[in-house]
Amino acid sequence: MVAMSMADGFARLTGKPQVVIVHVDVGTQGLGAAVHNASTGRAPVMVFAGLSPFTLEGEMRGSRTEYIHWIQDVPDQKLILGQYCRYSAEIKTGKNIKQMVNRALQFATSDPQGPVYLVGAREVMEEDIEPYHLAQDVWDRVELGGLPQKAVRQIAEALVGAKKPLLITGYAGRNHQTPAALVELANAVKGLRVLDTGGSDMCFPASHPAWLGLRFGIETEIKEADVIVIVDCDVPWIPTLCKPAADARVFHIDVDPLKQMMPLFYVPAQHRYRADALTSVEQVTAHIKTALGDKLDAAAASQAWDALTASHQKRLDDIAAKAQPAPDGTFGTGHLCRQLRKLCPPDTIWAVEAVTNTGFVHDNLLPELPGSWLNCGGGGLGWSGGGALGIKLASDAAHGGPGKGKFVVQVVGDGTFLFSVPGSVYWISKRYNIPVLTIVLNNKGKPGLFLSGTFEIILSLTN
Amino acid sequence: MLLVHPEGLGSKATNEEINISFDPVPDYGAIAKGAAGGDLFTARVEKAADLEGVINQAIEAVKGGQSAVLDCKVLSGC
Repeated sequence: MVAMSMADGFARLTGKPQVVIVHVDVGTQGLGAAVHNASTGRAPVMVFAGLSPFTLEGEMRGSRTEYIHWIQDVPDQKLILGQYCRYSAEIKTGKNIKQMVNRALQFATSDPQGPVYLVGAREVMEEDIEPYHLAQDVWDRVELGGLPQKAVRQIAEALVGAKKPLLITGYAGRNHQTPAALVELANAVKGLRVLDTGGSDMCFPASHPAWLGLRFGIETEIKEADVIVIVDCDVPWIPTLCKPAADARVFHIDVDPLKQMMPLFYVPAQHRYRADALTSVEQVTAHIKTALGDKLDAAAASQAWDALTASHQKRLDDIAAKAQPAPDGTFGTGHLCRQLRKLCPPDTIWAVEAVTNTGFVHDNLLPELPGSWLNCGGGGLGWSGGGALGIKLASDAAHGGPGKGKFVVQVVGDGTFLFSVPGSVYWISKRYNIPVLTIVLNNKGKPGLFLSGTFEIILSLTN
Repeated sequence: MLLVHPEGLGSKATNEEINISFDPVPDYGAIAKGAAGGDLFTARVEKAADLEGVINQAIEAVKGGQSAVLDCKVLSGC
């Protein structure tokens, strides 16, 4: 769990695939919910595990030498992770091992990204091979394109003509250039509001008047919007609790618009596209600026902007008012996070796994910088212990070595803290010099476990 | 549970009765400190007036290379 969460955090921050090596079937099972997280939250992580030796009389080098080789022999070890992986395969000879690894990494890093699993028996790992060289420049990931031209026009015109345009995203901020592109779009379509319903990435700056914050599928704007553009999002709204107007026009742009891993998923979008979010958003903004310039009513836009600014300020004021300590000096997550924001470095990276308290954390940390807020995007609680370590390691590596990276803070619920396997996390932190600040939200486990035990129940914070 | 059965049995049970309470609360900081062989900053905080001081101490520890765990008693719902 910890190792794969570290790999996940590192990969998530940098975009570079990471590798976890575990021991046969039991080590693979020890990965736990980190596999779910890497799959659901689209992190490029390669897992390698050995297989028990397949000879037992010494026929080949690597043949069985220990009791455990019999006990850890399983019919198909790949099946342990199979359904969560973008690719899983057995290395059957050492002679093309580089090609196998490259292929696995291509799957891990091509959208929708996720975990991959390679296994190999001991005899294969012990094989003598002639050293060989591959040209690595022919093994890159698949590149995703943008929107068809017709779509660019339709979406641009719909947004410009909308009375209450809304953009909903979950993980567009994974690419650190995308928040700025969303800001450009929000500046071009005055009145557009941006709602985050994922909580896995910083997608849109809190200081911008279009910011609606992070809400898990329940928000008034969803019900009132006449045009909704969904960009890279798993759960734009929860229909039993909140849904768009029947005549709303909905466009869905996603690396995975049909959600290939979910047996049940659908969104009533009139148009859906498998496309790169950054490219698509830039295409639409460019079209608005160049082709629709004369369709923009300056007076209406100015009015919309003023209304937006006023409601944004009210939102911020309401958040501040709710974050006051109680008269007896006790405080909630909101107030705590307000203090953290004030005292921690401005470019702190927040690894957040606050479950039912996530909305209060987001409202008061007010993420502003791309790459400053991370969550795994999955439901496997316990990610943030290893995740924070992986993020700190990655940040240090990117800035020149240990201690040179950004300040990393983990904000975690109490139960989730225990799920993170702290016995391993803080040993690793000490052993490998990866200092992080962990904030444990101690409320005796409620109300997260009580309502449903998953973070969809953050609805309680949104009203 | 409450979203499907707001008035059901679950709504009338205490957290202890359905085994989802963390009372008595473990000492989270001690768990972490033990794992780090004692080399970890930890503190508990319950009052708003103490927050700034404790957070600053924790930040200094981390900037100095030592991990820190703050056990913060928080109210629910805010």
